[in-house]
Amino acid sequence: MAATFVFTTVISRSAHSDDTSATTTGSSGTAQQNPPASPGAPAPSNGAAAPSGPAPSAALVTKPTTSGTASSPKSTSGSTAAPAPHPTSSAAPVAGTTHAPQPQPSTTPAVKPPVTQPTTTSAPPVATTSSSKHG
Amino acid sequence: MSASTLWIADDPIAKAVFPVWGGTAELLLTEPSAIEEAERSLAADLAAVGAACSRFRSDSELSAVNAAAGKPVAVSPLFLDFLTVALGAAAATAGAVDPTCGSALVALGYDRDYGLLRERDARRDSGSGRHRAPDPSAPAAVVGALAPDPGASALRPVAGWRVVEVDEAHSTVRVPDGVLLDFGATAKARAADRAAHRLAAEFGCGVLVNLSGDISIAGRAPSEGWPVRAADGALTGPDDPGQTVAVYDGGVATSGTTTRTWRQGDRTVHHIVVPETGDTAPVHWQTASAIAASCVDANTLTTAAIVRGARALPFLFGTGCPMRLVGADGGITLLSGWPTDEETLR
Repeated sequence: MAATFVFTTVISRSAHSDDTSATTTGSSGTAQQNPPASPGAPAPSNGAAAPSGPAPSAALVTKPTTSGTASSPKSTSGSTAAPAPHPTSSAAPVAGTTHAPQPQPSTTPAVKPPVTQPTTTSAPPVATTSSSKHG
Repeated sequence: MSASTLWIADDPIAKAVFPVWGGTAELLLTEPSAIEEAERSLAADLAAVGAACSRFRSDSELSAVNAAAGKPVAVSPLFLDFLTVALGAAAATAGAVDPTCGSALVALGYDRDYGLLRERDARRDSGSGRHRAPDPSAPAAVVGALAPDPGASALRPVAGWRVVEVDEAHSTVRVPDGVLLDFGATAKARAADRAAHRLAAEFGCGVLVNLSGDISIAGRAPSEGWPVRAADGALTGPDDPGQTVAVYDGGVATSGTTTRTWRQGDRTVHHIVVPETGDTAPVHWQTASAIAASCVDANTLTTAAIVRGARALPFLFGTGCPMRLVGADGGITLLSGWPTDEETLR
């Protein structure tokens, strides 16, 4: 049975750092990202929200499993946030470096976060959000 | 319509489910005695929204604006509200989420309700539908359903949200001839937000409105939050890929590239368009889920993520909204406090 490798990248604000790079632990090399100010638009930003303040820190966790089928890496839109998985037999993570998104000029985001952060739960779901929308 | 009762820890929750817009509306209340009245109210709400904003109804206000050949059209306050929200999403994302994508979607073949698209694909598979006459009883948008795909040569950049002219004083809207508005990226989310907040105020309880995956939460949540599952694909059962998190306020949405697809010629396309090309967005993320202050905000983020791929990350991170992004390779990226648990690492 082929192995499935799932990369999880966690990006969150660091309260005590103004460093613009972040360390990633993963099973493959180095990735770099130099994103534009707006959400990737070719045209100049018209005030779209952009990160300000401390740079994010990132941690990459690799968790291989033995069920399912390995998916082939595919990227069609330029740089990637995380290194592509290497489906090797080695499960031991190897240190690497990912350059986190650079801070952008401070603007007021038009899109706002929830008042209360979501939390983990073991309760059965009462509603599901998915991309299989209709209408 | 049907109602039932479930429990979140020690909190009784009433739930009603009914079909809407080719999908499902779910209404959950922390005050079970109000469920029937709230359900009727929600159904009436959504009927009004459909009459104003559906691209698949020839009698909608949206269709009237699209068919006006560049002339101003008088619209209702409800339509103006939804248009304002759609333009706001475009402004917030520097045009990544653009309501003038209607013509691009038609060029891609998305000229009818999604369920009818799948029927067309099935008929083409069977070879039975190529020369069938249109059904005269079908909705206007379906007439001509068996016309050949326009093909990739018909794809061109969309006009862009700034071409939309709104005269608030006279309640009129004008788009240039040939420009087709589509509120697909924001309408269900806005409908969910409006309904959830109105019902929470009216009945004084916690409310969750879920319109085919666009979820809005208002009022006082259950003590342990609303357990909401973000599905990574088309399968939405508790054992299918995804993650369940407790949400306390705001909205939740997911956009994706793998489940709402159809065929155009010899390729498979999906419903999220890159405004600069008019083509379906390249698949960088399979799905993007977000939790934000509103369902509109959440859906704006998830759509921008699909449109821009990795280039959207600084913008997404800058909003501070928790997000779960599943890459084309299956890798998972969590932003801004989306909880990590064993299920994610499994």
